[in-house]
Amino acid sequence: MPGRLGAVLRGSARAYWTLTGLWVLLRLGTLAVGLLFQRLFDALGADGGAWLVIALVAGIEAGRLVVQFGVIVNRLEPRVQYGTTARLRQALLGSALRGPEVTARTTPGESLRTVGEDVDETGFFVAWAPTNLAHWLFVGASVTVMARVDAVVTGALLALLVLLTLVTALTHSRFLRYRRATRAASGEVAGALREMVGAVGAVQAAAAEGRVAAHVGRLNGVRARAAVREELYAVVQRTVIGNAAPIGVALVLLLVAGRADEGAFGVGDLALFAFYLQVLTEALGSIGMLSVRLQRVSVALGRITGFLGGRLRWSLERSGRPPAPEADGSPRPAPPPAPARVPPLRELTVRGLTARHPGSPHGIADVDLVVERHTVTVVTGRVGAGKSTLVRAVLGLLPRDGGTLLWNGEPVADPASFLVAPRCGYTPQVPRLFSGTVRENVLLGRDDAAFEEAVRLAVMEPDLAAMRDGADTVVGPRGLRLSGGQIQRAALARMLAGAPELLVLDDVSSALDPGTERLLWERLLSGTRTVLAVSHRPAVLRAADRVVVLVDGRVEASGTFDEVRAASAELDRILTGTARADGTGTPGPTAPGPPGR
Amino acid sequence: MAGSPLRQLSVLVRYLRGERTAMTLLAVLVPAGITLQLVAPYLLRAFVDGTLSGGSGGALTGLAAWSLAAALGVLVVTTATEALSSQLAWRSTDRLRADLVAHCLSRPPEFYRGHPPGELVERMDGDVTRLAAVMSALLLELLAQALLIAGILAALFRLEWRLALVFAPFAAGTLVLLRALVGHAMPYVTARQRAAADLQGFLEERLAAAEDLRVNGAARYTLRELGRRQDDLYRRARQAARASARWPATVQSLSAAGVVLALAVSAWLHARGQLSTGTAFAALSYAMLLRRPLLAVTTRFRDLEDAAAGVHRLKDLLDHPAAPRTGDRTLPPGRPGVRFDRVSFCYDPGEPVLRDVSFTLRPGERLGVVGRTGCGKSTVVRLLFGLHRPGSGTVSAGGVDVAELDPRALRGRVALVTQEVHVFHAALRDNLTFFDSAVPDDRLRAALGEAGLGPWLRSLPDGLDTLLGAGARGMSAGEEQQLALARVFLRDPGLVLLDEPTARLDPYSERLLVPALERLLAGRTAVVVEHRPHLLRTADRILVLEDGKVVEEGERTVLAADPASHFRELLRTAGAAR
Repeated sequence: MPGRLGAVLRGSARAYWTLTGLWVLLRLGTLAVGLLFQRLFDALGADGGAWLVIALVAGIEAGRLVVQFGVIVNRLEPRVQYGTTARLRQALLGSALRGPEVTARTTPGESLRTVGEDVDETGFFVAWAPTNLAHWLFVGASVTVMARVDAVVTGALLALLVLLTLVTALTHSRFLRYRRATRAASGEVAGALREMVGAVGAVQAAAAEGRVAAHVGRLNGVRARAAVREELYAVVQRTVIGNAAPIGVALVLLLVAGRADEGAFGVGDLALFAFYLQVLTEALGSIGMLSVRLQRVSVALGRITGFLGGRLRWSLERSGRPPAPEADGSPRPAPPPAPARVPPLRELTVRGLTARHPGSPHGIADVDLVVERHTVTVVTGRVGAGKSTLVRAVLGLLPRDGGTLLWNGEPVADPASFLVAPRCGYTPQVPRLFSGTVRENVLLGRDDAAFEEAVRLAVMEPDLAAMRDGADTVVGPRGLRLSGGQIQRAALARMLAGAPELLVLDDVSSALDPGTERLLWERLLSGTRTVLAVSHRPAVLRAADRVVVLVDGRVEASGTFDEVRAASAELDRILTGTARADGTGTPGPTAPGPPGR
Repeated sequence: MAGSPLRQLSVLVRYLRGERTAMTLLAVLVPAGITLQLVAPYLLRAFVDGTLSGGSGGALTGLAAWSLAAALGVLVVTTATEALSSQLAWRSTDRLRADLVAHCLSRPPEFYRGHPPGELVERMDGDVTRLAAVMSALLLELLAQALLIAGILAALFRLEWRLALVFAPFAAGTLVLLRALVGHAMPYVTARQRAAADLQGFLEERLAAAEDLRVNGAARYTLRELGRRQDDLYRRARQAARASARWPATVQSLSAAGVVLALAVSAWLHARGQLSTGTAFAALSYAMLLRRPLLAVTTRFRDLEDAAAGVHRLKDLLDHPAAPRTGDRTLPPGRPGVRFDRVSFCYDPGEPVLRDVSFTLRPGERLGVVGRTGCGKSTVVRLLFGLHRPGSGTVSAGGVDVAELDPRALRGRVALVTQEVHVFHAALRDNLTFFDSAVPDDRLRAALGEAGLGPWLRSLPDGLDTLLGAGARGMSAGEEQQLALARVFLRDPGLVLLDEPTARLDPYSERLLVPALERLLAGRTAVVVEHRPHLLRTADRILVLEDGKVVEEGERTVLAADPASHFRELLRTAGAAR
């Protein structure tokens, strides 16, 4: 835990320690104010020196306010908090973009929670921890000061505070129980209201308005009873802590009343005790939070580390020195280097590739495949035959269990970082767009010059022409304002804008109408592109230079269309439509043919 | 201290009626708690002065004991006050919620077109619950803190009038200054929340698209975009922190100034021999006590504004124009006849759905209404069920104009079965009775048996107490429809309206449903809208609609025998489609 927190803090360590130092300073000031009160009331009794003490109190308070609100709250705390969250998010997203391990390790919901809540929790903790530390120091120091004044009274006060803390802790568990009950009852009420509103027609038709209202009323009553109990326990906790100081002062009075004539415990001491008790009870609240917060942040950090494959420190360093946020306009972190120049693709060879989706029996075994420059290779097979698994394993999107990948005969050790633009482009079966304009989604930060051609190739210009804002149309969250076919073609344009040497297409035509699909394939198969595609459309299969038929994850046949047709009964079934090749498209002669090749 | 939000909340006063005991108790407890808080510094003063003048130990111990009693008294009284006020708040907001529920249930369909279900639930539950929190904690606290400030000034005045004189303008100035600061941070906080939500959306979408982005070479671009958004969030967070710090900074500066002022005035008076040390001590205590109300008020102001906005929305909801006046007549007992006299109707002006429709159905007769989709078939039964008013002409049942009938009395005697069935997330029993626990089990079992659900009921582990609906026991569409029939059997209506009850069923489920439907129609007046012919085979009369007009009306046997009739043609095409 401390190691992880340390790793998280690197980069805003200075701000963090400054923050901690300032909080300690502030608490020292508070400590001094107590001592000054002591002096003041002793001085009042002795008639002299009061004005200097008052001036000192005023000075310390003024300094505290300037530091706390002028430096800590509006500068240091945001810097530490948002600097930490920014570094963590850069590392997390960077790691998700670097390799497929993250997607293999965590479900989408979990990863979203990690980059969201868990990072927020961590950021909040590092900004909050210094106050807490300073509170602890204050407790230690003030108790020491008080014990030197009067050990017996201090001991009694500590016992009182421990007792009150115990009372609140006991009440807290009760409170939590009733809070759960209130939550459950609230869920019932909300559910009943939702049903009532949803079925209002049925309720009115049955003339049952009164009975349904009474039912909701009963649920409301149950919830109100639980909520009142919950609040009662919350109130007890609040008032016990809130009144600890007056009770403590009364206890002090009771203890020293008998000894007043000895003069051991003066008025100044009483002022000191009263003031420290006030601050101590305020500190107790924060101190009590520590165990809860520590527990939460360690869970959060555990998940963050898991997301990063156990390499928290490494990932944070690798993601560079990102925006120490205060440094406006400073150079951006050096991101991962662009792929080094390698000779253009002559041939991509796959040998003995074996891979499997995590947690699924489906997979591919021992697949051989050669994709030559400027040829079209089409992988086909039924649902579950392993077509998508094959292209994803080639791209390194799935971990390989065995096999090798050769680029112009040279082995590729890490396809995930090698097969990227401009060497390779990919359009998945279900492409993901994001909020923003069509142009932003297609270009992904590239030069605008690539846009027109990419959109033309992807047969998207007619759609853009029909949109009021054209290429600057906002596509909505996840691109949901576009139709399925438009999303697919925008993704194709996105791939083409990177001018990749090798195009990998996973069943891109599943949501297209026949006319658009024919145009698309005409443009893609113009003879100057290297394509590895998954499809079951007869026309595409006929136009391919090489067809690979997968059955249960193994290659049943491969070669030219005619060769494979002769050798594979499966291909025949796919062509005649007796095998349901896919749920989305109907294989059959309707798919239009590309120009003769 | 807050004109507009408090005025908004004043509508709640009527929901406090009937809470006299609780209100009286609060009226006693709140001042009692404040008095106890104010007494403590007085006791301290006596104790300090007593100590310095060498007072007797016994007297001092007595003062200390009184202090302890006062402190414990504050604890008890505060707890009681808050517990009482939360009870009061929940009881009164539950009354408000009950009003809202009753109001919404009485609204016509148009109301529901204007208010999506999510919004209504948020109004009835979310807004009202926030209101309960505000009422129980905030209003009372504001009141108590205002009283406390006044009390402190009064106590100081009794203690030493010159101290009070210094403090009075100071306290008043504080309140004015704070009032001016209210809500200034809100726009910045909202902007920060929006930037955070934007960042979260960005992360969600980019994580989902991580593979596309990486292969297509956009990793660097994406991380750069992330950096840009995080910078934006940081900038807004700093602005928000700066704006939000203003309030506590002001409060704490003022209270620090108050403490220093109290000390200085006390020291000056003490030096002139006009003030005892004990009084100085008490003055300091009061100055520290004054901090509390200010801090308490500061954190809660936003809740108050939120709640006021909620009340405003609720008022909008309750002020929704009342439903059209309905009559108060009831149906005569027995099976009613039905009569449409030159009825025209349109949902939207200029688009008539029914035009000049007339027909008569004698008690116990069965009418089949047929025609193409959109010809107005469903509207006939909806008019008869009182869901709409005809534009012209009269719809009458049992010889009474439907417009003059009390709609609840009408619906108690007339049943409408459509293809929509709503199964509540509740026990089977409650699903049948709509939460009426007075219906005996025998009747429920009989109704289920009539609906053909007898075997199904016997297969249920918990019988009538089996939980149905979302997340519980699933039912097939056919079973749901049979459940709807069982609800109707339970009410034993004299007139049954069927609006294509089998439309969403597969042929198998439909075959299971038909006997139950036949049992339901037997011995009752019925209007059956149906495009499949099987239920029409037993109809006495047939009404054929086309574009909202009657093209044919007469006895079924006559029409079916007439080779030129529309009905005959419909039967032929339906038969061919089977």
